[in-house]
Amino acid sequence: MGKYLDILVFVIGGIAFPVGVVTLGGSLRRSYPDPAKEASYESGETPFGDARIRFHIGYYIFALIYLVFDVEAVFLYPWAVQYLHLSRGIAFGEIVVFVVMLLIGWFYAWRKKVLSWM
Amino acid sequence: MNFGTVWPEIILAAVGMALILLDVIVPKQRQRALGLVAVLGMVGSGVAAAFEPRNGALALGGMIILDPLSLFFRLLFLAGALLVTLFSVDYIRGKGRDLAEFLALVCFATTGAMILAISWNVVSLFVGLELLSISAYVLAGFLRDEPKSNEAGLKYFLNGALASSVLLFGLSLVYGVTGQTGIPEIAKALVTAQTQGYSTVALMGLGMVLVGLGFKIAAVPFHLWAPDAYEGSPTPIAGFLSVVAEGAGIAAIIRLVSVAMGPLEGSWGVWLGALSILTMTVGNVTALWQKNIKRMLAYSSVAQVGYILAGLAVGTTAGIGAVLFYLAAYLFMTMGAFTVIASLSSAGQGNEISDYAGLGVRSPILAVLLTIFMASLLGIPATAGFMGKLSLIGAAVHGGMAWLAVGIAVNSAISVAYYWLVARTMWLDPVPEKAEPIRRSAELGAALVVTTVGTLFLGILPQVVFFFANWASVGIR
Repeated sequence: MGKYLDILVFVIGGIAFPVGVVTLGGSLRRSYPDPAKEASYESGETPFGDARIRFHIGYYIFALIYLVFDVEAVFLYPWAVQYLHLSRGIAFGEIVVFVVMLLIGWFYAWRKKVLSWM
Repeated sequence: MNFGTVWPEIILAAVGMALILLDVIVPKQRQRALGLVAVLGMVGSGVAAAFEPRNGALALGGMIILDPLSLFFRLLFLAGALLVTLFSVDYIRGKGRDLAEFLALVCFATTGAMILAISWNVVSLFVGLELLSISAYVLAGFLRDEPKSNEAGLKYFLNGALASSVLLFGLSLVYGVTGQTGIPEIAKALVTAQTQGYSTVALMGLGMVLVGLGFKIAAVPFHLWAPDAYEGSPTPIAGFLSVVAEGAGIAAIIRLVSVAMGPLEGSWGVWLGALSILTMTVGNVTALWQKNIKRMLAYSSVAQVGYILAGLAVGTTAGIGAVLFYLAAYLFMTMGAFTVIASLSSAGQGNEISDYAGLGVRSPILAVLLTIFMASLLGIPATAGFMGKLSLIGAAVHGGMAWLAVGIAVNSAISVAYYWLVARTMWLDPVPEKAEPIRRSAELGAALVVTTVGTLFLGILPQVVFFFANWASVGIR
């Protein structure tokens, strides 16, 4: 069990620190609430309406297409780091197959007019 | 690395991607031909599978094994996918949906099932299972204009995701005990782990693996998603779920439970047997009350999974062989039943059992075929289902679990009622007033011929497949 004691200490410390700081600050400062102070802050914009609204479905599709390139980048990076240690012909061939597969997905989305904003 | 050992999977995945490309190149009105592309790809993949080694050689760094069991499951899944393709061409086009996308997903799902079946490592096994599952979720919800199909997709997805996470947690417990991901290494390490007193954690892992896979194969009490998913899915996909997806779950049980955790102490064979009895009884009794034929077949397939689990519970070579034979029989009879349903619903008929009234007059051929499939699912002699049940019962008796044999026999008697109901409605109920004869397309006709011949062939001349199944089950450890 001894090995896992460190983790327990980290968990307790991780919970205790924010709770302690907020409690300490709350007990020291004076409280003058007003609506502007309690509003949520986002880059100085005045907030309006509810956060629980329907977003346009287009955002989700764009997010999915973004994922294609995201996965590509994530996978290309370790490949590039290890490239010199791999047998080069095969490693290059494998990454080409991988990129072509992603390109097929991207090409399909493009031709199905997913990329044009409706 | 030598990729020559996974040519069947590479071919099938490549055909799936080619279908996606062809979808945007070939004009809409000529896309019917894409069915042929998929069929050729699957046949090509099957031919490649036949030329693979089958001596138990390991490949890709020990991630996959090429033994007779791999060959058996590869061919089983390809045959299932082929039948699904044949009878979805008209169905999907009739619903006004994109055929190429559908067939591509079938190819990807089948690739996943094949990767799962040839895995010799829990990591590649899980990757294959997820490739199958994620494609199958989309396929279940493919008719996105129909609320029922959306419901099917969502329910299948939520339950499937839960099942995957439970399975993965179970595998992580096993990994924690053994420190291995290779299936034979796990089996070996479990023996040492037991002497060190870690078998409780390993048993918890085994339990969670069984629960996760129980969801995937819709074993009771994890079956509640199945009727909704089958009813709402496109009919070809209902067939696909019950043959390929469940077959893959069975393959995973053979590899994970019978092989990897086989040496585990304790009476897990008895627990599997209890699961089997529960599954077949609940499936059969619930099927008695169904009014919709797809829901009835869903509960019937729950019951069939119960029969298959009996063979796995016995766990002997004969038991596994009977399971494999039953899977082959199940492929033909279930797929056949769903093909008849699909051809009737393409012709505008409803899916309620009462809609089948007078089918014997309106379309005698389809009625005869559906009767054959029902008789086989019931287990009447001269059909595949009879030989399958016979071998399962034989294996249970010889394996010292005669109570399982009694359970199968009693349950077959219960299931007479609902299979007979369909036959009676078709042949004896009065023909409705404005009944029209039913036309079929060439693809559906081909699927019907294959399933009927398969059902009768396995019932009358079972030796060939029987030999294959026993050969595949001998070397699993």
